[in-house]
Amino acid sequence: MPNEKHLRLMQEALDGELSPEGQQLLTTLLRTDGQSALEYDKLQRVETLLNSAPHERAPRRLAATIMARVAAQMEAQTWVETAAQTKSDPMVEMSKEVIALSVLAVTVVTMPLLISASWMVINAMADPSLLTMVLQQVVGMMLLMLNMMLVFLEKAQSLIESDPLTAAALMSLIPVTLLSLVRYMFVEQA
Amino acid sequence: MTDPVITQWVNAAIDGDQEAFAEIVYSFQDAVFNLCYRLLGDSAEAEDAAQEAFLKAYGNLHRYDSERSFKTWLLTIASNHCIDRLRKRRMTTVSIDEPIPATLSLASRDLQPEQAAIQQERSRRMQALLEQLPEDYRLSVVLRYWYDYSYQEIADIMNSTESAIKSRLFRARQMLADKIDHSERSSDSGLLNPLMEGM
Repeated sequence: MPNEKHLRLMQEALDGELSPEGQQLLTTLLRTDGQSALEYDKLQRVETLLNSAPHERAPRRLAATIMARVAAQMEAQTWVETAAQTKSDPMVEMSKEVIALSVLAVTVVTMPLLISASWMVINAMADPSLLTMVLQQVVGMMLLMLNMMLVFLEKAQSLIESDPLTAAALMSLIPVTLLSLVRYMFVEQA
Repeated sequence: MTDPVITQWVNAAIDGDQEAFAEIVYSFQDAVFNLCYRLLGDSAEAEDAAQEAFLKAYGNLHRYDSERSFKTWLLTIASNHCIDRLRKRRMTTVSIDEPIPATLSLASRDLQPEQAAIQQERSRRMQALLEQLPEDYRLSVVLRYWYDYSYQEIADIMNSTESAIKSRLFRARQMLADKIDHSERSSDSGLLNPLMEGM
């Protein structure tokens, strides 16, 4: 087995970095030492083998798959950026607060209606048929109001997205309108 | 220093131009895939790793230094990704007697069937040899013989020193020589014969 120094000499020869003196040393070594000659032959064969190693080519679909993933990634990134931008927009934030206040106002205004409905139910307890009718009416009204609220919220959301300033102005009118309506109903009837 | 056209593609891709990034992918897909295949030894996994490497590169294009070679930068990302994969799993050595997987017929895209079969066989046996090397030895060998990188360039890619790479490569050559020798002794057909044919 050749020693470390001889192996290093062989390595330099394979890398084409051997000096003329080194070349002479190696030639002498290979001529005189059968083991070293055998080892060098093996290394040379490996070198030839590696230098002629074939390249694997990428499958045809690879580029298309990568580009599809890049497109999906970009789309997701754009969506996140838009969402972050929308969230940080002070006008949109204000509009959302106005909506919350409007919903609160509507709840406050409808509260007397719910209380009066409860009162009617309690009074009608003596008459089961009347109770059923009252319950049906109350549930019907509540469902109607819920639907109205949902439609209202959807409209409000789309308005915020398209024109946050107008949305804020319109939403602020809702409690005022509702209060005016209630005042008209109760004060005028009294 | 990178080709100005590539720098132009990189800058355009940073600005969101997907066509420019597609040019980069088309230009380097073979190089990246070959590296992944040689390191991982499985065509399907290499394809997946190549995709991940390109996506990582896409996400980090702004970090690319145009004073460096783009190919080297890209191959560094791919090799790091493959080494991570190799570390996460212990690779099962592919037997040289196993049938050729259908997906391995990639090297032969433009070759005649007979030439393609020889090349596939050569590639497969070469891969079986490579897989017997430790991960870092394998990467050094692949970068040296498939990409013609200098010792210093390999050291940069592998975050090591030139002397360490030199001794690693020499050790790898010795190991390969021993494997081939052992294989030739234990088999009449010999491992080298199909590889050396036509050389």
